[in-house]
Amino acid sequence: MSRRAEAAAAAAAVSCVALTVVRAVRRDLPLAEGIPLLVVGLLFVGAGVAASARRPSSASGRLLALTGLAWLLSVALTTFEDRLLFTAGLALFPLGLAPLGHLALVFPARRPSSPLERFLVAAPYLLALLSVPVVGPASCSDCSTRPLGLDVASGVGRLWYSSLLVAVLVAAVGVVVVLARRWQEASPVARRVLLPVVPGAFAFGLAYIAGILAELGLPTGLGEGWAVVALALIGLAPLVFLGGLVRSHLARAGVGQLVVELGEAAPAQGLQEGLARALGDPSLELAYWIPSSARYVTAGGAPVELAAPGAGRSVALIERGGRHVGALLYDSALRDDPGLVDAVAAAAGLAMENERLHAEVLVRLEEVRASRRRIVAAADSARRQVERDLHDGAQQRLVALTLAVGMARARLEGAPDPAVADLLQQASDEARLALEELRDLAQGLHPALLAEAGLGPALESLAERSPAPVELSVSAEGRLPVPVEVAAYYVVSEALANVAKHAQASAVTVRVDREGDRLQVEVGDDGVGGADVRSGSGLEGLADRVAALNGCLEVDSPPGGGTRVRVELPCG
Amino acid sequence: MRVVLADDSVLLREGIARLLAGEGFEVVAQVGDAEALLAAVEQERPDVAVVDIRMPPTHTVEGLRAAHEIRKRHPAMGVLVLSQHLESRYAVELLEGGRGVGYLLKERVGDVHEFTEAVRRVAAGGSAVDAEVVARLLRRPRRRDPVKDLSGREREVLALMAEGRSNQAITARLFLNAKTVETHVRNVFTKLEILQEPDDHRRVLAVLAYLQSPSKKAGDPPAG
Repeated sequence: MSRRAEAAAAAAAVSCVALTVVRAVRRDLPLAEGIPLLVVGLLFVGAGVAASARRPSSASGRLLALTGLAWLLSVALTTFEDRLLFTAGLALFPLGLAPLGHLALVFPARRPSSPLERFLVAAPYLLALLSVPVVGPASCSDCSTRPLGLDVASGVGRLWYSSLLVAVLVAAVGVVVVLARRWQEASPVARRVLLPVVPGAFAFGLAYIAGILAELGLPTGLGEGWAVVALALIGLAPLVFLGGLVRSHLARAGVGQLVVELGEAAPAQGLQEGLARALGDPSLELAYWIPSSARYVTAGGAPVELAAPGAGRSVALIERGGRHVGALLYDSALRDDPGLVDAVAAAAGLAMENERLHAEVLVRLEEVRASRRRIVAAADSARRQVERDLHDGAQQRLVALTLAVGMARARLEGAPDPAVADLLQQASDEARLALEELRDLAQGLHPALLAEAGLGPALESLAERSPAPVELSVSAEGRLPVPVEVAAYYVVSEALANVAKHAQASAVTVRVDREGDRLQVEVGDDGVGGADVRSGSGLEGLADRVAALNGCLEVDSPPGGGTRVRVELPCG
Repeated sequence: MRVVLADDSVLLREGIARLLAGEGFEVVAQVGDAEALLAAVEQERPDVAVVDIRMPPTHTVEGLRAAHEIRKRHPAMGVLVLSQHLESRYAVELLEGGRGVGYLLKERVGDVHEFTEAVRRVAAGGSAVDAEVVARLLRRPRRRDPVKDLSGREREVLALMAEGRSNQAITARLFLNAKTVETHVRNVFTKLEILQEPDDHRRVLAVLAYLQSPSKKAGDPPAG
């Protein structure tokens, strides 16, 4: 119903009531008799307008309003003395029941699923029309205004009326059976949705059937009680329906609460459970879209198939910032309230985006760490290769050269030309210096002792070769993971090289301690200080190497206050 | 004097073999890895094996392991280990294994006389420790350093002892008379507070052990 139709329905309802009151006062009719029906009619119109305002696309509001208007108009028309108007008023009453049957069958927002259901939806309207010739005489035998119509006590009228009653009975039984089956087949979530309409309609249907049976003269054991029950159920129907609307409203408020919770932190019992609670659907599943493999997975990573439509499951796609992030799989019964599902999907999108960003950051971080580890490993491998090449190539050749020169010198001993001996001595000395330089270079490239004997012996060897005296203390016993040993070794090696080059230190201390799963390495000197990890390319490279192992490197080097290089490495 | 040579560099192996042959040694076998070395030693029973520390398959310390194995099987056979770079712990490890060992930088082959002298010394059950190893050990910082109390001469004598040289060799090296050298040797042992060893090998071992772990052997108060 559009806003205008809603306003028109409300205006019509008020007009009917006003007309009834005016007519009743003018004719001095007993108004009390009409009041229950007026109230019920107003409630129906009110519920219809409210339902329509909430879900304009749904038929529920229109059907409720139609019932209410039919009855209000029925009451209003029956205040007229004109026989045609009076009869029309009487005929409108059964016509008001037809939208209710219709509503019960299609609620919350479905289409009749079989020819039988389509027939059952149409039947009440048809029967209401077919009742017109007999409805007046059948409704009131002793009314002050005599209605038009066939006499139902005899002849054609009786036959018509009896046939009509049987047809109504069949239709009512059909409706009741369909409603019972719908209820029986419904999931818990669907029953929650059906609750405001179907159980009431079913009960009314039973009472109505009892009434028809009584009218047909069959004993029901209820007497006139059915009418009381039926009227009570009809009166309650709009109230129950409005209750359903309020509950749905509260459910949306629950989504709001969920969004607030998600903003603070992920719900403790998991996003899926929080969403299931907000939507009131324990069967709800949350599927994460993985673009790289183009499929959906659960939070645990298990693949999820989106159910084919019509299997009682519905899918709401979750988008965030124009990107598809996942899907909600929920009980189709909840489609009655698409706004609620949309709200929950939006909340899910917010939380999933957060989760996704968090996960993505973690993945990227791990990728960066892994690539840094690979870079370090590749550099180490390259260093080993260069050291090996030096050893097998240049170093061997220089030794061979030294050997040849040495043998030449030995041959020339006592020779008349001392200048040649001097030149050979010079060649020999140069070769020795070259070998020394190569040795230092090779040693720095790949410390063989480290791999063979471990950190302690390798650091002892480093300390021995340091020009400044080194006090070494290694309390970490046993072997450590190779990357940790290598990093610790290079840190000490680089720090000692810096001490030799820049620090002008008279004493150096090297401490290596293991505390739990942390290895602490500290190199301190009493030199001039002023070293900077950024300017020193050696230390900068080491910082990268240490960071690749999730460790940290600190350099404390105040001018004139010595230098302290501290490294902490996880070694668990 | 019969020699087995082990080095994976054919160039150097041939060179050293030529050098040794020229100086009157009989090179009975040349091999390229530790396994072949052990086989050649079993077959030839040489007086001394000259072994490169780094050989296939791992190119780390195969030569060192083979040297230990030879010392275990043939305690009287000399083993001289050559290396492109030195680790003082290897020197001590070798000397602790018994007499007749040497550990020299490979480039020492350039000084023909020094080198052949070292080979002969090792073959005869003496020791040859590279001067570079000794120098490093002498540089080690000590809490209370009696090495600092030594005179210049005494320090020279200490270094030559640590290299494995006899009193006679030291006398010739420093152009001193035998009595003076004996006095210096005695002074060194007294000042370092270590027992004087009559035997050259045990003397080297004692001196190196002292230099390697000074705080314990020198009677310092325990650390900490």
